Order: sequence, then C-alpha cells, then structure tokens
Amino acid sequence: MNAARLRLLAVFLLAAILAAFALARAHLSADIADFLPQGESEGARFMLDQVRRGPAASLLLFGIEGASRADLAATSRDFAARLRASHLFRFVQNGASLGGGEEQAFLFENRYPLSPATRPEAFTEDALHADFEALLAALASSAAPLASRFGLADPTATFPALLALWAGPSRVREIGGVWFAPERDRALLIARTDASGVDLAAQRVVAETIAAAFAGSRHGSARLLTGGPAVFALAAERAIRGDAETISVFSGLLVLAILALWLRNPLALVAVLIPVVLGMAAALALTTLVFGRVHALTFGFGMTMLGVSLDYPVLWIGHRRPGEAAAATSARIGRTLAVTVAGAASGLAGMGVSAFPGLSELGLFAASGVVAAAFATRLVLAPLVVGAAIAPAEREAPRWLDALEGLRRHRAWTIAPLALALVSLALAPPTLSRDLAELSPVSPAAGDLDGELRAELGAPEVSTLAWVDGRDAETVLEREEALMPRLDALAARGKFASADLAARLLPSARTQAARRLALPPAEELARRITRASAGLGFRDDAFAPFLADAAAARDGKPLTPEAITPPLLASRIEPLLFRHDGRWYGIIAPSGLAAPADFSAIFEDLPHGHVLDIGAEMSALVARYTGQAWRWLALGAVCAVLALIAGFGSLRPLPRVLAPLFGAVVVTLAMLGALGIRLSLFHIVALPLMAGIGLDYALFFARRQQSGDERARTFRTLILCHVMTLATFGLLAFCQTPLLRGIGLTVVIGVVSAMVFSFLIAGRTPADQIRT
Amino acid sequence: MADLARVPERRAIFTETKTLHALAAPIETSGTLFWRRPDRLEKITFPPHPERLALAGTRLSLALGDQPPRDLDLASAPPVAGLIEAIRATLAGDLPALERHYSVGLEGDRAAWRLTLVPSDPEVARFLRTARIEGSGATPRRVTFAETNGDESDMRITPLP
Repeated sequence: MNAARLRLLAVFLLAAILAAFALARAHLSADIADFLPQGESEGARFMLDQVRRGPAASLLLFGIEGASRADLAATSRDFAARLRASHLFRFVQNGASLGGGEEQAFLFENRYPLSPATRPEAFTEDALHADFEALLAALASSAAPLASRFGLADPTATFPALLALWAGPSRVREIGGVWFAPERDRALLIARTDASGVDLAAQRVVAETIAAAFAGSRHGSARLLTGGPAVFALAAERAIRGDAETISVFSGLLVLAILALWLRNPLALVAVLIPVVLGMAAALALTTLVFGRVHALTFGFGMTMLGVSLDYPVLWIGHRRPGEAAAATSARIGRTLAVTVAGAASGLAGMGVSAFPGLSELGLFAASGVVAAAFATRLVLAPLVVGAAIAPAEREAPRWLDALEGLRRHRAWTIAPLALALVSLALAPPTLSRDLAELSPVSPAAGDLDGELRAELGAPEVSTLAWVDGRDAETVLEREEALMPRLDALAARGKFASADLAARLLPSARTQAARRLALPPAEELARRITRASAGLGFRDDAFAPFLADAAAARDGKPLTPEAITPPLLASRIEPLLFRHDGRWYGIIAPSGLAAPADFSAIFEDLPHGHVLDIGAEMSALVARYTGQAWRWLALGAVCAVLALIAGFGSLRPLPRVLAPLFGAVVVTLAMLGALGIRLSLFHIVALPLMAGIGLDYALFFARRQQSGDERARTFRTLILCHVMTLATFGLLAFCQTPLLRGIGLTVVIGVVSAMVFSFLIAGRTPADQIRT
Repeated sequence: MADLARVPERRAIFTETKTLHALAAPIETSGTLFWRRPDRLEKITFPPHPERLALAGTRLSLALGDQPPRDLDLASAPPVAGLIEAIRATLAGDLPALERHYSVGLEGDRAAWRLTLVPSDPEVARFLRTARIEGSGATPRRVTFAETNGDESDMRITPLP
C-alpha cells in the first residue's frame, strides 16, 4: 500500500519534471506580432511587418510637463543627455540642434546638391547684391561672428534652408534650445531605440532606463508622458501578464481548495493533477515541434483551456467504486469519457485550421493537451489509483437527488427559456467587433496621449503609410520626386500637415545634377560677385570661400544613400529609404492626416505607388478571420458530431446529447447579445471550449445509471467539475484584458446553461433509469 | 573679482570697433549696455546699425533694425556663446564660471587690471583665440576679442551712474 502511494508521488514528480523540461524548451515568445494576422497581399504583409517591427515601431515620443518653462527645458536637456549616454538609442532629439559638428559639417559641405535653395535665380547679380547687403548688416551686428564664419562662404543662405529641412517637425516651438508643444508648456522629445519595438525584453530594459534617466534629471515638479508603439506593447503585455498571473494564482488556489475539500484526501489531490501536468507537457512539446516556439499568449490561454482536462481524472476517480479494477471502471464510463474527449478535442482542433496565426497555435495546444490528459487518465492514472486504493465510499442516492431528478418530468418546459433566447437573439443579435483595438487591454487614454504627442511633434501617423518601390535607390528617389508636387499641393490645401520622405532630404542623382548646373561656372560666378559686391566695402578676396565651394560642388559626384554617414543624418534616411529582398522601398509617412482618402488617392493610379490604411487593413483582416471563424467552428462541430456517432456506434443517443448543447450555445449568444457585448474573435474561440465542457455534462447525465450509488456519483462528480470550471472562468470574467474577460464571460454563461440543460434534458427520468 | 561680484546692476554706454577680415574698413558702432544679476544682459545699438540684443539664461534674442527678433540658444551656437559668456561672467564677477570655459590670466592691480581669457572648450577655441577684459576697481572699461579667422572687436565701456 505504501509502495503504491510512493509510486503515485513519484509519477507526479516525474510528470512535473517533464512539464518543466517541455516549458524550458518551448522558447516562449512574447512578440505580439507573431500572434497577429499577417496581411492580405505580399506588399501589405511586408509593410505591416515594417510597421510592427521596423523603425516606426521603435520610435518613442516624450512630453515633459507640470513645471515652469525653465525647469521643463532643463529637465529636457538633462533627460536627453542621460538617454544618449545609455547607448540604448539610435538617436534622441529634443531640439533643432543637429547633433555634433559631424552632421553640421557634412550638410555644410554638401549644401549645394542637397539644398532646395540651389536654383539659378539665386545666383543672378541682383540676387547676390541683395544677399551681400544683408550680409553686411549682419556683420555690423552682434551676430558678426556667425555671419563672418558662415555668411561669407554661403551668402545665398543655402545652408540654413537645408538645415531647416533636416531639423524636422515645424510645428514645435523652441524655448531655451529645446522643443516645446505649440499650444502648451510641454517640452517634447523624440527618440528611437536600437532594439526593435517588438522585442519586449529589450523594451523593458529601455523603459527602466527611461524611468531612471527621468528620475535623475527631473527639475521641479516635472512629470513625464510617454508614447510610441513599444510603450503600448509593454503596457498590453503588463496588463495581460498581470491578469494572467493574478488569475492563475487565484483560480489555481481556488480549484485546489475545492478539490481538497471535496476529496478530503491529499493523495487523491496529487493524483488528479497528474493527467493535467502530463497534458501540458505534451501540448508544449507538440506546439514547439510544429511552430518552432510557443507564444506566451498561447501558453496562458491554452493552460486555461487545459483546465477542462482536470475533469477527466475527477470523473474517473469519482466514478470508481472502492476496490474496483481499472478495467471495471472503464467498462462503466470508459466509452462515455472517450466520446467526451473526442468531441471536445475535435471542437478545439477546428481552431487549428484558422489562418489567424495565434488561433491555429492555440487550437493545436488545447486539443493536443486535452487528448494527452485523457490518455494519461486512462493509462497512467487509472492503475495508480487502483494501487493507492483511491475511491469515494459507496453511498445510496440521497432523497433530495430523487426530488431534483424528478424535475426531469417537466423537461418540456425547457423549451420556454430556449424560445426566449431565440427571440432575444432575433431582436438583439450580438454584433461582431471588427476592431483589433477593442481587444487591447491598454486604455483609450493612452492612445489619445500618443496621438497628441505625435501631432505636437509632427511625427508620422501610425494609421496610414504609403510607399514607392523600384529596382534601385535612384529609381525610388525619382519616383518620390515626381510625387512631391502633388503631395505639396495636397498639404497646401490642408489635407495633411506634412509628409516625411527620403527624396526631400536626399534628392535623386538627377535632381542633384540639375542643382549643380544651377551654379554658374567659376569665372562667371567670380564676375557676378565682383559686380554685385561693388561699393559695399568688402575686400576683393572676401568671397573666396564661396567661390571655391561653389566650384567644388559643380564638379562633385552625386551623393548616394550610402554616402550619408553622419549617424544622426543616417538615422533619418534609413527608415525612409531601404532595400529589402533586392528591391528598394521609399516610405512616405504623412503626419497630421486630415483627409486620408485624398492622400490615398494620390497613389491609386501609380504603378509603383502603394498605400496602406493600417486600420482598414487590420479591420478587413479581422473581419475575414471572424468570417472564417464560423467556418472552423462548423468544421469543429461536424468533427465532434462524427466523433460522437463513431463513439456511440449509432445515431439514437445524439438528440439527447446535442439538444442541451444547442440550448447552451443559443442562450450564451442571446445573453451576450442582450448584454450589448460585441463578439470578438475571442468570444468565438470560447464557444468550442464551452461546448467541450458542456459535452461532459450531457454525456455523463445521458448514461444509463443503474444504481442509486451510480446516480449520486455522477451528480456529485459533475457538480465538482462544474464548480471548478466556474471558479476558473468566473475569475476570468473580472479581468482587465478584454480578451480574457470575453472568454471568461462566454464560458461562464455557457457552462451554467449547459449544466441546467444537460441535467434536465440529457439526464434520464427515474422511470427511464429503471427501465434498463 | 570680488569687487565685481558685489555690483547688482550696471548701466553703461559703449563704442565698439570691429575689424573684420572680409571688410576693407573697420565698422564703428555705439549704444547702451544694461546688466542685472544673475544672468540678464541687454545691448542696444544706435543707428546706423540699429540692433537690440537681449539675453536671459541661455536664451538669446536678436533683432536687427526693424526686423522681428530671432531667438537663438547659446548651446547651439558656440561662437556666439563664447563671446557672450566671457562678458557676462566677468560682469557677474563669477570666476568659477569663467574658469569652466577659459584659462584665465590676471595682470595689474585693483586700480588697473587685465583679464586674459583663452578658451578651453575646443568648440569655442575653433572660433575664438583670446578675449581681453580691462578695468579698474569694480568697473570693466574695455573688452576685446580676437577670433581665429583674423576678425577682431574692441569695445570701450563708459559706466553710467
């Protein structure tokens, strides 16, 4: 006897080690992009990936407010310095100042091909004369050191025009050398992390660095506001993780407490856990094998779903009579249990064919875990339980059970709530949610703040993105330049604030050549300078640097993307112009987009122009997957029914088992509709889960139970299963994460109605029981 | 320096001669200076080169003639910052601030002293070779700058009561 107990404990330990090993090998991935749909066309897929993982995803926006302007400016300066010193960022910018001397020197040297101010009319004698007069006034002023340094080499102010282009957003004010929001006292900063925005582990380190940097640079009562995709991803992950951790701890303890109270036997408690732990190990192993990794979300939800498999050992032990051999228990409930498992697993497996990456993973995880737990119950648990002699004592059915089962005589009345549910469903059908954002656990306020910072900084929108492609960088830049007049015209009409694109910063080689030709030849320029400066008091050689630079620029070679080497400048170009799979892409990112339709229209008739309305694209995807969901739900249902038929070997028991399930699904949908809850994919995912649990009830009540003891066993065991399920999913309904709440609510409504319907409809009347 | 540091506020008129490498003849300007502890400086230049320069903290505002003022942050303009800091820290008698940016040499006695400042910050040193400030007692009388490109300026200051 003692050996049998030790064996049971040893098996439990072994199972736990196996599960821990599988978990360690599972490469739990927290990258939310893995879980989301991938896009319709090749192009959309690529760009969605760019948005999620590319430079746009690693952009961070900061606002500092709540203190005096001087304190805000000082905080901004210290904060930026600390962030730069951390070496976690590609760049940190808090003002127009373009980094160190390297950037300035590069732009000054290449001002003629790069600056839009290089036009023939800027170098006429009259234009030069006006420039020289302005320069003279500057030389007489306190700005003389600057004028003497830059003005003599660049009297046409080509460099300042270029600097303004690179300085970036135009809406910000500059106070004390740092950016401020246009309408309020809020210092603004923009930064890009080296790490990808979806690398949550790295972004967590970044978030800690930011918090520490701000704490160390805070002047007065300044406080920090943060926006950017990575901030959302982290917040979402934190909320989901927080929910998942709280819920799993609470519901785990609750379920254990219920089991302990019911079983009153610590050994039985350990025994009940063995199949679930083995099921988890198998599910992890199989999912890792098929997908190469397991998503953290899959693991979280999958484990909730595997909670269902706790029913199998409970049903087995609950139905075992003292002293009974495994084969004898199996003879009574083996078939019913097998049909239950087959039905539940096929329902869940339907999810596996979904093209929504997260769902197919979840389907595989849950279905394989359920099947493995069932096998573990029969093959591992059953002999152990016999050895350890775990079984509830035999008892006659209590009187109240007779009374309760007597209610089944009135089962025809169940048609009333069902009819009510059908009417309600017809009047208030649940609407489908098409917005992925509704699934987000992040508060809408955080989204508003992000939009506000984006608008104030003139940072590109995350909602709409356009691009042109071509076989090389030059082609792309020329195509962008061809678009620029139309973009500028639209911006002038207020349809959007501005568009960030590479060609504005780095003109095509063709445009650079045209600008070079706009510079007069050296002798001609020298002649014009002499005439234009006559009588102004300049020395003869005052404009020698101007002449030398212009001559050098005229003979220069075109600048290519690779030639832009200063780090800050390169970091501006890289996200806008890049190569992927042998093709070049130029991103056109609008900011302050007021009329998305007008913006998109520009690209419609362009063979190499593309536009992606990310919101619309995601909605279309979600709609498609939701539409698809009904298909895999149906597939799962058909598989489940086939499994039932195969298990029973006849069609006769089907109505008795399916009627309560049908009732439960109808009531659940009607309730969700009546509560005004919009059905998301995750509510739909919960339906096969709920049906799988309901199947337990229906099948076990439908069994012919030949003794009072057997009836009492079934009733007690099912109620225990029911209470455990309610404990788990009831807690889910209190989560912050809409996704978890959706699953919790659906399952709770579903299993309660399945319990009632199964008891009344699937269960047999006393007369029926006796008539064996 | 201690004498300088005791004065809370100053008013003065100035005449400045700028000898620039690009111009054949020097430029003469004159105007008023106003300074108040700790970091305010205002320089108003009379016609024919009217100008108003105001400095508060690191924020510089410069208006030429009747044009709208342009704002400049000293941090982003080392050549200007070098000149401005030399004047302001001297007026404030703030030796530590001067020594942060320059190596400071002091000659003469209280009645006639001369500070020679050589920039230690390489960004400033690229533009400014030396600054000299002469004075007597608590009053600076003359500020001269020599820049690396050969430009020089010489400002003579007469305090107002």
